[in-house]
Amino acid sequence: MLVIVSIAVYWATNAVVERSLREGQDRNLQAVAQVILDSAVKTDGSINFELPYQAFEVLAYSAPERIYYAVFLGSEILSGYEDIPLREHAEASSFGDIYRGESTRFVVASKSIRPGSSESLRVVVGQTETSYQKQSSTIAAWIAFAVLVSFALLALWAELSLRHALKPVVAIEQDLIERSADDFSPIERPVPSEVVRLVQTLNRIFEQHRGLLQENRAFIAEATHQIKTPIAAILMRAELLEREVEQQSRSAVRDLIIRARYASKLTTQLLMRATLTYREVLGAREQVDVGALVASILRTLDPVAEIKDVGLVGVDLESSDLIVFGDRIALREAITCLIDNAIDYAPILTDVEVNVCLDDKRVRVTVMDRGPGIDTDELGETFDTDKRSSGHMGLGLSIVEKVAASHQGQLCISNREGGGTQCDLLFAAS
Amino acid sequence: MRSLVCCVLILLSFQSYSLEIEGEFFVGQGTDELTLIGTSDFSRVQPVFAGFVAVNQSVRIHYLQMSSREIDAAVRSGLSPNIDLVMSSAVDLQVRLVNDGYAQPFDARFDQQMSWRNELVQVAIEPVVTIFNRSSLPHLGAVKTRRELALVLDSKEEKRVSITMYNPAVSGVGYLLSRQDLIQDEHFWQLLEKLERHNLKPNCCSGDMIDQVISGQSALAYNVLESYVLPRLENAPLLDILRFEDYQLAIPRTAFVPKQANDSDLANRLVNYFVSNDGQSRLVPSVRLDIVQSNRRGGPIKPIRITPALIVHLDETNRRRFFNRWNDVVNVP
Repeated sequence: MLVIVSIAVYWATNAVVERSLREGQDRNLQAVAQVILDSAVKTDGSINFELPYQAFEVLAYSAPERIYYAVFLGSEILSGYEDIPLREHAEASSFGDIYRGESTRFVVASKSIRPGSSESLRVVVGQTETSYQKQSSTIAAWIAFAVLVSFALLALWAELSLRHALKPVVAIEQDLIERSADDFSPIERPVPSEVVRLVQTLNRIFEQHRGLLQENRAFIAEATHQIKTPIAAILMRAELLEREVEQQSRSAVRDLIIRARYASKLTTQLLMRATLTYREVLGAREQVDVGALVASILRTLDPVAEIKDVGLVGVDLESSDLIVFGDRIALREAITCLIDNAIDYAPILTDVEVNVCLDDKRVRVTVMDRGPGIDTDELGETFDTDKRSSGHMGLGLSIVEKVAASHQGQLCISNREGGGTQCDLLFAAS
Repeated sequence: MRSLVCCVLILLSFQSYSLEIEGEFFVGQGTDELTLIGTSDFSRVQPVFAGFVAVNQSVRIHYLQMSSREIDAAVRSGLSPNIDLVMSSAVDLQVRLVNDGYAQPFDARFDQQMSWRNELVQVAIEPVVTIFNRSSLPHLGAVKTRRELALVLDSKEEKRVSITMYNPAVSGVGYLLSRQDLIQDEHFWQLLEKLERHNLKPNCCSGDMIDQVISGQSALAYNVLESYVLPRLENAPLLDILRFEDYQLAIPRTAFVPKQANDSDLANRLVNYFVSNDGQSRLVPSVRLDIVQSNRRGGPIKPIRITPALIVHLDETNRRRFFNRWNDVVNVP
């Protein structure tokens, strides 16, 4: 780009300078030609004129160029260089031509020798223009060079000032990258006036989001609480009712209880799901010892299993290298879901086995029961809304799947040999 | 001086032109031949050539002495055999040859005062003086300017004497000097009229004019080459030099390398040697380039400027104009 500009500048300057030098040269030549013409007088039938030595000397002083001249009366040469290419330029008062192998300027001055005569006296004065051309190309080269240098300096200056001007913007970018997801505090950094509006807009969006999120959380908490309270009341009343009603109505009440429990559980899971989504946004991650986590879950669920007369067996939970980098709450919830499910479906007096091991740089949590198993055709649907006929209800597996996905993990469900379900939850070990 | 040179007229037949050669000389024993043509008497330039050959053992200089008109014609006709250097005191003809594109630029860059286009360079200078016979014109010793000379010659006390000067119709140098006198001095025609009122007998050459003044045949010779006068002073007690204080013309001897030179490199070296201190020291003192700056009696030396304006002197119409006037003033017998 710079080169193109320089070439254009060189070309344009050369043309302009050459033209102005040529005009000056033409004026000098014109003066000499006019002096010769003015000296011409007719005496005794012949034309007498003078070739002024001093005028030629002035011309010679102007540049070290060759000088040519010729005086014509009509087409007849009176004196000088007769091969000057005047015929090709009959009408011109000045012209350039290659004469004797060199670029030469010629100027013609003419007057008729007496009024009304068609025969005119013409004086041609020529001078080679090599040094003028050299001069103009030298000037043009210098100007082009100056333009090149100033453009380069300008580009450098623009680059530096742009970098300087963008500094606060880059700092804001860095602020935003480092900012945690739940940080909605406004950007306080002083910024140049050009980006003040941008920062103000960002701050307004932060404020709006904080409000929205708070409102959202409040709504979920409120809604869940508002739903749970009447469900709990229904459940309590149904359980009381169960003892009081006749035998034939009891199964209907029982069904009501089951459905009320399901509603209660679903509400809790809904809240959990919302919480997990929120935690995922926060990106609350830490080193989690899965073995210890599972042991703690087993301790919590032990009474539940006991009520159902199901054994809860943990294997290999003490290994110390079963560490996953993830959200402790989410992992706990996912594993709890799996074990809870298994307890739900395990027949009385069977065991639910929970095993944690390292499997090719992955931490594998296995939960096995001797329940009815799953129809492999239904596997695809399992994760969305759990609807195993025997009552695998709720959002349980969907939560597990979500946690697995957010931790780049994997959930595999398969039927066990000799009946039952095996769920494998895999996470990358850290 | 001319008598010292063997004035043999050798007619060498060239391709298309016969050169009228006044003398042919060789300097050095080398195998690289450098051919040059010049107007200078060989005896004048021989020491410089000898000095050059002494430094450049492989060179042999072939010098052809010719008149300036012959040189001009020879260059224009296309030289054959090829000439490597052209050296002449006819600066007007030299300038015209260079203007018309017969020269090539020198390798070295010469001072602008000393050269033109770097194609024609001054190698020596030939101051011009006026001489007189003390017995014929005893009052001339006090004359300082041309105006005073005119007054003295005009005065009643001065008897009619014979006066000589270059005949411009015969001598190119004479014509050049007269034209330059006209440029320097607007009263030159009046001076000529004064000279003519005595007995003006124009002559062809400096040597003849000096002889005439020494013998008393002429009382005064206007415009003779000083370098021809100086060696004669010792044996001619009546001979005296008049150096005008208004101006003293000097003719530059110039050299150029023709376009079709055989060995332009060697020619360049010879020119460089010629203008060097060593080369100049081998010339007689009065023709060295530094004479212009030297402090000598008389007015400032005004060397004829090497300018393309000189070509107008050579213009035929212009010449005719000059001679119309000249013949009006001077009655050539």
